[in-house]
Amino acid sequence: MSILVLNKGLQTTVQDLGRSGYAHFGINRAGAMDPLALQVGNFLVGNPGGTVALEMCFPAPAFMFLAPALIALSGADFGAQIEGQNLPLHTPIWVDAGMELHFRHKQAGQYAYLSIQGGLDIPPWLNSRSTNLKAQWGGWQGRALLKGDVLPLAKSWPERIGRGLVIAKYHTLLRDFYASETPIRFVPGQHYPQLLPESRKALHAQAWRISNASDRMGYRLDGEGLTLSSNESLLSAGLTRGSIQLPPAGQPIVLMADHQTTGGYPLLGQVIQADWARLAQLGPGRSFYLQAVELAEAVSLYAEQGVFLRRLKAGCALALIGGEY
Amino acid sequence: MPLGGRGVSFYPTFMPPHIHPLGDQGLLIDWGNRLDPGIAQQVQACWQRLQALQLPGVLDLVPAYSSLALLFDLDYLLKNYPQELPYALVKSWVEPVLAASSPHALATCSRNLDIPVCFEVPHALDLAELATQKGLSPAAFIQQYCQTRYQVYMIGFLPGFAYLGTLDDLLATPRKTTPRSAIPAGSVGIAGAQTGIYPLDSPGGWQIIGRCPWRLFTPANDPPVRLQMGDWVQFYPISSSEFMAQNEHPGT
Repeated sequence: MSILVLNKGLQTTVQDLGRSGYAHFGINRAGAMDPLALQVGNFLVGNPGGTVALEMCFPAPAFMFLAPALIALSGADFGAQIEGQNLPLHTPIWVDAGMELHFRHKQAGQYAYLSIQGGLDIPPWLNSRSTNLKAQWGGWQGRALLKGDVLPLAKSWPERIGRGLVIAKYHTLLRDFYASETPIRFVPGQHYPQLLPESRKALHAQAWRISNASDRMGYRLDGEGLTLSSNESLLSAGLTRGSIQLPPAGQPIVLMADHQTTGGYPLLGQVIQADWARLAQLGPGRSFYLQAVELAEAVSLYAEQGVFLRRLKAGCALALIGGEY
Repeated sequence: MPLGGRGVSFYPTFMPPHIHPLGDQGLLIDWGNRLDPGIAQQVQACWQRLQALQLPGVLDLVPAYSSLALLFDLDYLLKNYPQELPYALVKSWVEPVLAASSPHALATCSRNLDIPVCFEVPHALDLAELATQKGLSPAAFIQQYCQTRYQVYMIGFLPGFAYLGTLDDLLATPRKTTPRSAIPAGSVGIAGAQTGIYPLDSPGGWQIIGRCPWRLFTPANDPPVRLQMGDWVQFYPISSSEFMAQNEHPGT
């Protein structure tokens, strides 16, 4: 009833939807970089959306299943294979004991998720099973996975032993949520009005490239630098994921899942929650445009995503009961 | 404005805060960009009131020097209050609390802590240099530093990292021009008019004057951190042997 890590990959961590309620202690949310993909993967295997799963970057890890399991892959496409057979994204897949999961090449996206029915049998810390890499606590021993780790599964399927690899004949379509031509949208924030006119123009008119010095804490953006009319030194204040900070050098930083709880750089705004998944999957080296939207539009875009997820959840539950695989 | 009293012994000027959205995730209650013990008291009072109210759909309250960030669960609010714009709804819950937080209504709970610090080598990485800069002996520097009771203005940067203020003008020193790549947990530092204790091994640019034997962040404890917003802290010097006897840091 477990999974063996054959290769650790660049950074494989245990994540759910994150740890809230402890930011006033300086303990950040953490959680999946792409919360949409995490939920989709979980629904496909019949889990609640926030069930703990494995988040993978490329070079990807490799695993051996030591027991049968119902899994799904979501988010980035790293060319998954079991016994030489290509595995589709966004589809429930039965695997048997002894099977090895490998990833061949990076095809699209930055963060891939492996969801398993029942999730992993690891204890929560402060209401979440997400790994807090800074505190080195939570998740799997507070760290990224290492070769030789054996992760216990929460659910066992002894009756599935010897039944082989079974790939369901349906999958979900998520293309709209990841359309790369749509700008990343943000709600203008506290210091946006202080942008000089040419900087305000540059913020919207140029393609921002995600720097290689980007990680789970933040995406640093390369482009023509921006200037504010005031360079008043600011007292630190509480921060949210998606905050677009402007350090003195003029290159913005978008805060991601492992961001600090407080900070003192000027804030141009916050990336809307409906675009978190898409931004996370762009990753270093990719470029995008920023577009300011009204708060009401941000909320309705997020509500649309919520409707999609609720329908998907219901559909997946029915499909699993109906045994359409 | 007096600073250094125990708890609330003075009436600060009342400053009505400004509220603005933090994207679609919450709102910031903002008293302006002012480092002022009176404002810090108001932040703390509002924070404690809002905590006690346990507003539905509120995930996090993050108090800081002169602001309080409130982060909500957009899913929850959309599901339970479908007719309302979440920001406007939560703002309408918060406003009466702010109105009730006038200076005379301030009744905050704060704790006083006395914290041991070893100011000897090898812990006091920058103390000798700082003392020389200020024209003080290390002993006089330590005495001056330990005279003041400091207020926790904010927790941030690392789990349990408390920003304490305000340092005496004589002791205030800018951060190091080149940050150190590794500072051991418990190290006590100075940055500008702030002082603080590193709860974890971490890179950092603060001027290190000593080390506290306590663990400020213990993940398995509830709460996992030792210091909280609003606490008052006074340091007292201990010797190397006392440090060894009280040392809670693993592997040292």
